[in-house]
Parts: sequence; structure tokens; C-alpha cells
Amino acid sequence: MQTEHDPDRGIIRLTRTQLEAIVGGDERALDPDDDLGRELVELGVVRQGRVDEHLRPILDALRRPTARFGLRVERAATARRPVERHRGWVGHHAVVTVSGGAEADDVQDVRLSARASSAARVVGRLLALGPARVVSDLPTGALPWDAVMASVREPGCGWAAEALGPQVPVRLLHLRWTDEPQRPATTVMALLASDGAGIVEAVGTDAGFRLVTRSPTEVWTGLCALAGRRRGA
Amino acid sequence: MSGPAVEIDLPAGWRHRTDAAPLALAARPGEWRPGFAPNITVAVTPAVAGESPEAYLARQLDGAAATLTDPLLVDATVDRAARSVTFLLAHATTGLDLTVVQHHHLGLDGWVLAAAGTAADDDWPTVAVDLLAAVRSVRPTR
Repeated sequence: MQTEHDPDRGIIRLTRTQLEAIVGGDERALDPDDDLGRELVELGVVRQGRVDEHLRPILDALRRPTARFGLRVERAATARRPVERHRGWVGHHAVVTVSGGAEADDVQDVRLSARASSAARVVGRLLALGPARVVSDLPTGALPWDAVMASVREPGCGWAAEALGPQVPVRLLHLRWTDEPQRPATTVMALLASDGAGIVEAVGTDAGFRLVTRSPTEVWTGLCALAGRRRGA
Repeated sequence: MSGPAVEIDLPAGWRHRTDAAPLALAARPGEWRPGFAPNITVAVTPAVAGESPEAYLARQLDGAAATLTDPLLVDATVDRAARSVTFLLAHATTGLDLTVVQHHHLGLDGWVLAAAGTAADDDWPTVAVDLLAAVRSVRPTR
């Protein structure tokens, strides 16, 4: 993915360094004599010494969030995208997601949803939430995390072979959330999902992780509760 | 044009407000705070002869994808024995972020009984159980 700035088409792709510079108000971002400043001018992010107005709602959400979330999606190493990282900021008037790697030069895909009340749907879309059957034949006891993840790392292995089907790819969806943006986000859902085949939640206990079947409706209800909590619903 | 009379188990505290047409019912809580109030609507429409529940559901979902703003299909199921379909969508049509659950009965001698429960996303956790139960309870009056 290359850097690109075309907000009329909803395309805002910046490196992590570039994004953090304009969010943080780094003076270098507006300095045409600085390498960073030149990059941003060439992209059209900085125009006539100012950050493009199209970025204002995005910057508002990133600078003054009411909630933050993070989603890590993990698949088998042989998958096309073994790991995806998504970060989200719920502002007063918008939800912004930033998707991309953790290195300074990794290009981040920035998306804007122009209503704060759309947070549940934004996260639901990142989860690829959709129709799925109720899962049975789950282990009855608690499992160590490595056993939970065995079915993610190698399709057809572990508990998922019986519960979801042989050779069914399973992805981990680790959602973290905080309503206090100055505090670290904490785990609110750890889901194991396979498109259409089912959704399972790994619930932490003293003895390990219990696997519990979840319907898409239950997951959606949980997302609405999280997003509504931020708004005092 | 007339169809079967219908009845539905409304949640406690809800009021049947009106029949918007001879074939439709609308209900909402008797009291609700300002803003979008959850509501239930029931409509009776002619069935397409010979259409399977699967084909009916596919047609409904195609219509939703074409007409709703930013829809997210959360769940959809078919009950062949009962000839019914249930689906849940989140969308942003009308400028609000809404969750709607629909339960449609196809096995009514040429009619479809379609119940829809709608709530703002923020309210969905509070009313989800009631709305799911209500739309599934809709039936023709015996």
C-alpha cells in the first residue's frame, strides 16, 4: 500500500510517522524545508502552510477522543494477511479507524465515519460480523491459551476441527476498549470466528479459557453496549 | 384487499398505537425518553407463489442492500419447517444509527406476515430481548 491523499474518494494513506506528526502538531509537518514537510506537501496533506481542511474531523477525533479501541486480527501464518492491526478513536462527532503496521514507515489506512453513534457498526465491519451458525461440540473445560490458538495457527488442528469443521480457517479477533482515552485499552472480547461456520468467545477464568458459542446477534448487542457506554446510554 | 388478522405479544409497558393501514400494526413503549423510540411494525403482504424461504430471504436482503444506508447484515436464518425467516440489520438510513430485527412468516395461505422491531443502536442492548421475542411471536389470530 502506497501513501496517498485523496479525501474526495475517501483515501487517506499516510505513514505512521506522517500521521503522528500532523496529529501531534509537529512543526516539521508544516515546514517545506523539512523532509517530512515536503512529503506532506507533495501528498496534498499540507496546502499553503496548513493541514488540509478535509482532515479536520479526523484530527478532532484523534486529538480529543471520548473512547479508544484496538483490534488485532490474527490468522494462520500461511494466510495472505496473518496479522491485521486496527486502532480506533471515537470522537464527539466522528469515528476514525487507522489500520496498518506498527513500524514508523508502515502505511496507515485512515477511515472516517462521520457520526460518533456509528461506532458499533464500524467495529462490526472490522470484525467482518455476519451470519453464522451456533457452534456445538466445544470443549467442556478450560484450555490454556496455546490450545485455544492452535486452531488459529493451523487450520484443522485442535478444538475447531470438531466444533467448526475440518480445515476451516479460524481467525482471532482480539478487541480492546477504553472509555477513558488517557488509560490503556483492556480486553473486552476475544473471539474466534470462521466466516459462516460460527463464532466462539474465549472467556478467561482462573483455570484458563472457556470456549463459549456466541451468535452474531449476541456479539452485535455487546458492541452496541460498548459504544453506548461511552455516550452514557 | 384484506388479509389475516394478526396478534403479537407486546413487551410489558408497550402500547398498540395504530394500525397504519388495514394490514399494518404499529407499537412502541408507552413512555420513552426524548429521541428515537423503539418500535414494532407488522405488515401483511401478498406472498409470491411458490417462493422458497431461502429465495424470499435473499430477495429481502438484496432489497435492504439496495435501499439502506451503510447496512451491516449481522445475522440471517431460515426456519424451513416453520416457513419463516429472521434477519438483523444495522444501518444509518434517515441519519440515525439503527438496529432492526425482522421476522417474516411465509406459510400463511398466500400471505406474508412481516414483523420488524427497530431501536437506536445505543438502545438496542436494553430492548433486544423484548424485540426479538415480540417479532417472533407474531401470528395470525385464530
